[in-house]
Amino acid sequence: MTKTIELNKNFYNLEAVKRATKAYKELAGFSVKDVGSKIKITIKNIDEDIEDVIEDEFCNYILSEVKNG
Amino acid sequence: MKKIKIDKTKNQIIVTADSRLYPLEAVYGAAYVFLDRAYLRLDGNPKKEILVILKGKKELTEKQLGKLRDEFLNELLNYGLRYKISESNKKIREYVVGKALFPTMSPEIEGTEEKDEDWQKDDLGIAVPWEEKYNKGK
Amino acid sequence: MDKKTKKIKFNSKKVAFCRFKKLGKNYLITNDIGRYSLLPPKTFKQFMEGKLDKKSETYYELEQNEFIKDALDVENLTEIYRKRNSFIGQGPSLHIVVVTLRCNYKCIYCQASSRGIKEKGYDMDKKTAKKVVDTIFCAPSPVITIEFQGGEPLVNWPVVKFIVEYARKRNEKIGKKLMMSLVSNFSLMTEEKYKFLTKNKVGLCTSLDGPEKLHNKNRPCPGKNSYKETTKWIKKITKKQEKDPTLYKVSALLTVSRFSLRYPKEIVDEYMKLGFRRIHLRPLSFLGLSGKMRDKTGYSVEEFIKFWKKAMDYIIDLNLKGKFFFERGSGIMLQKILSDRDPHFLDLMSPCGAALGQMLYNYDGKVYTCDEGRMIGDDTFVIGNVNKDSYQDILSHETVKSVCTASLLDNLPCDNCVYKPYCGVCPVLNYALYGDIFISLSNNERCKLHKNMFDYLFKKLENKKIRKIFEDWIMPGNSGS
Repeated sequence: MTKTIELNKNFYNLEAVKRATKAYKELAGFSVKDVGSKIKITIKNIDEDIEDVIEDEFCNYILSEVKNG
Repeated sequence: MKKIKIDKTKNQIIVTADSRLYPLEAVYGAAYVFLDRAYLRLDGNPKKEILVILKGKKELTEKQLGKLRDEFLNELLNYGLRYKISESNKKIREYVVGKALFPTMSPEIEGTEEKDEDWQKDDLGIAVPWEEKYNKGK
Repeated sequence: MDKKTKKIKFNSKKVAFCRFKKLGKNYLITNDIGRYSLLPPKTFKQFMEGKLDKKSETYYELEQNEFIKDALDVENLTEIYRKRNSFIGQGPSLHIVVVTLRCNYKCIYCQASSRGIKEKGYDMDKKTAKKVVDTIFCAPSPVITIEFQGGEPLVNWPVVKFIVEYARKRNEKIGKKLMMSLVSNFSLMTEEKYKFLTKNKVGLCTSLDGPEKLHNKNRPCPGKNSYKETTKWIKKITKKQEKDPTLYKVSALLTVSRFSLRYPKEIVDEYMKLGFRRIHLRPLSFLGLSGKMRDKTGYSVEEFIKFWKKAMDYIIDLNLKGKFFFERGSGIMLQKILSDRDPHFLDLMSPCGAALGQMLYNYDGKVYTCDEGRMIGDDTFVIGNVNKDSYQDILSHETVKSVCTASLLDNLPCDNCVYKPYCGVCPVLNYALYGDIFISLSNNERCKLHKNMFDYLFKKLENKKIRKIFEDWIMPGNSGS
């Protein structure tokens, strides 16, 4: 199953996204693209135990990383 | 001005905050408090309006969504005030910290936002061995 | 915010920097120099709007404590800030020496991940011990404390003896204020060892987890009654000290396990029965064995806080009835709240004490950022080895800088917290529990623990009688560290 997230670059940055993909690497595969004013994240090979929540949990993690700078 | 929409079908609330009253830093601060209670997304234009979407981590009733909304708005107010206090006292705080920790340096701390990338600097002399610092022999 | 404070028109000319939170019915405000005030909602609003009556007691109090911007005494502010952060430039003063990992006990929560008494290869040799002492004396701090830990340090008595003698000899020329202490279960203590330690002014500290049944459950010793072994020496040392007050008093540390949670009063009573004037209600760190055995011996933060509050209520009650007895952990927090004397408690410092305040020297010569660093069980927090690295190399290690950065509260979400002037984070614990030295969730366990404790203490401070008790706790010679 593949999920796609688009995040507004006004509020999220690539560094935070990259740190988050590193933290989540055991749970899924990620590809990250800088597309204009958005960051597009594609999530593949998702661990089935967390399929329903990975999108939301992952976005929360990115937000916490944005705050950490 | 704030606009709040409760969307029971999606188990979420959407808060639209005027960025003149609630700067981005304040929104981040308030959002951060809710990370363990809700799923959050930020969108919009930080120069005009900031959208904060809060989705319940479990199924919430309309009443519970209303409570989430009230709590978030409260935090937004708190962080808005904190931001104002912080911004209006920034320079004096930088001066005090600089003068307190580096008394021999110039009291005007310029460019405090610059990062010191030189990892070898040891301005406080913590890595200087005792004998060298106090000229005491072995 | 509540109805009274919702529409605050902030006055940037009148309000000096402060942090705030709603505590009960009032607003607690604190500033960078650790001053605080509890304001009713109406007064808080007036303060924020710059509309306080200048003749009022509240205005005077806030002015004296540097909360009023147009009355700030910047020199005073700077001086106090400097005093409260004076630990930063001193260099490590606490040097923990793990002379062996071997131990004759099998404590259920062992955070040191000790080894069996018959295992080989876990003792410090004299060559390494000499290098350890030489490195310790390179530290610029004029006050040095060498603390022997293990395993059970008495298992490697020859090296303990060697370090004590060599350190004293080195210090004859150097002239620091040298203090030493030994943390032991006392089961291997003898009259001869005790005489040597007291003659050389080595302070003694042991573990006491409460009444016999509880202590033995937490700290079993094969073939022995560990409670009796420990208390035998507590009583002996106390008796000797009563006859000769120049001798150091023995101190004791408590570790709270799951089995302790039902006995807050009984544990306090046990300490009092044995003549102690204080107790430190320490939670498990969940490092080492305590982390691996968390399901069996551990508990949630909420469970610990419930226990802690019951114990604190009991202790305060004893004090109100005229019996002096204090809780060390709260004493340390209160010292930071009620005075500018830093208690040098490394868990509540920003940056934390890792390498800046303490260092740990393991049996094999490896140097760690701190006690917690070695409890991780791998080399993540190793910053050097006395057998090949100079003091300068060790202190300049990148890990020291990383840990400092990760524990500087100004860089973290903690910067918004009203308790920031009094608090600290542990990057090692963050790494062990969350996989990252930086605190990433505003409500992690250590944070919850500290917030609950500070909430409790500040609420209690509103009571004048209890405030007086707390002030007695922090008198020099009584409190904390």
